[in-house]
Amino acid sequence: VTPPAETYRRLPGRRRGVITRASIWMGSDHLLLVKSAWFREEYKRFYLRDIQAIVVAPCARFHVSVPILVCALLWLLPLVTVSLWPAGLGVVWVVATLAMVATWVSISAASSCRCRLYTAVSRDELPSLYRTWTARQFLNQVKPWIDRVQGVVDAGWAEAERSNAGPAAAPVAARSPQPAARIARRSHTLASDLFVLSLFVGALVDLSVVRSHVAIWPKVTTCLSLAQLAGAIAVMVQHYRGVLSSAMNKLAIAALVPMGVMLYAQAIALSFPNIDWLNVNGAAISLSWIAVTHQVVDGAGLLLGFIGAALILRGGSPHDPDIIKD
Amino acid sequence: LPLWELATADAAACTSCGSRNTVRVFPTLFAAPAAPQLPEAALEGEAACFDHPAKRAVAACHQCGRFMCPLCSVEFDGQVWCPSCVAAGRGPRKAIVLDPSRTLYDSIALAVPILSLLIMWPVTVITGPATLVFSAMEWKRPLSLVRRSRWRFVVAILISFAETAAWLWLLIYWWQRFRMGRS
Repeated sequence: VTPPAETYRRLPGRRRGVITRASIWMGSDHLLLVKSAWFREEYKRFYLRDIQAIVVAPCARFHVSVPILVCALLWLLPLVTVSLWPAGLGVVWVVATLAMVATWVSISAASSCRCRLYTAVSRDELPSLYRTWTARQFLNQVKPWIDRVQGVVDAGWAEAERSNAGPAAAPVAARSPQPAARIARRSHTLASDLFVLSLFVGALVDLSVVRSHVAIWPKVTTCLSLAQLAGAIAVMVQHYRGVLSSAMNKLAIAALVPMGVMLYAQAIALSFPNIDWLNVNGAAISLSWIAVTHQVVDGAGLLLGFIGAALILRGGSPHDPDIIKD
Repeated sequence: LPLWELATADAAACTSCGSRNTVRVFPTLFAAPAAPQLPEAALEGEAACFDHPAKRAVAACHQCGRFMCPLCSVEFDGQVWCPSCVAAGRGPRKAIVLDPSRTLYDSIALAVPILSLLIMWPVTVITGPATLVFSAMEWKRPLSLVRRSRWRFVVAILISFAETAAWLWLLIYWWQRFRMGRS
């Protein structure tokens, strides 16, 4: 009889290169490091009872992952229509590109690290952890599990050794299992509440004025879009800092997608000002096309707003993967 | 750093570059290493180790039953195995606990029809049916340890089926035109 297969839970950190990939998973009593190249995966197990230390050393890591590569290609794609761009758009595009490259360089130089795991007989690098915030998340999730298996170091022992100025005696570790620390993330914060509110207001205002010709409304909707963008960034920052739940973070990411789609649609429409998109029966309907895109995006924003409201009202979920239960 | 400082501090400075490292240490670091259990010499008539006939046996392998001295006994997943069984990966738990690596047949099945379509589409006349056969043959192979779903196989079968069907339709179409041209 084949025994049941081990079930693994993904831990923070994933390295996705063009050819090689790496990730780390939590099993019932061990960490599983998965390294893959082409069509082969290699595994290394670190049993929780054997782990002596985890060290995160800050250093520069200029890793170009596949998602970044895809984003860069998508960003470069509109260049095929550069000759059709209005005068100001090219400058904006170059400035935005430089800003993004500068952000990537600064993150790679200042917020990157190497994470090593020590056992009595080995010292292994964990390649999936190369950003400091991911390494911090990883440590926060793994430490309670290792503490549960190994116990915690007796604080009295460390104090005694400090006062004796040297660990002459054999150190004593408290082996009594301690309850795992609860990493409690909040389901919502003021920033996330304002973000959800901005989703609602932005969608409703945009839906009601999409066909209006009053000059002030485009400025208002642009401001609301910027508010949504700022709110999404704030939510993601709070998630990385371990304050907010992953559900709200996913909502913020999902909200950025329709905004990106809308920006692309507008950029394409601006690139071809004299072409009648979907020319039906000789009537130019390019403006209607943009309006329909607006309505679809607004509908998505409204839906996301409802989901956000549900997340806020639901509060902390017992199934939140970010909460390690005792 | 002294051990007591590692136990209380969350950071340690590198002695060569001075960078401030985040450190989490665990009680195993402070545990004294267990003294190795040395095998005793086997007396006349006593059970001896299979690989070391001069040493007294202390356990039998859970898989093959060979007698083992303390040097040869390997604690493995709550059982005691002999080195040969560990090396050979015997027993029903092999696929779960001993695999150091696996080939991702489902990813191969998915990549072949897609890449051949994107890079050199005429090759799909071969890769389409080949992927169908390959997916059927490798369907029951163990997947990645951490991925359980066979959706890659399913998508690969659908794509290769579509490619094969398209080629069949094209061949029939050409054959019909050829026959019409002759008549």
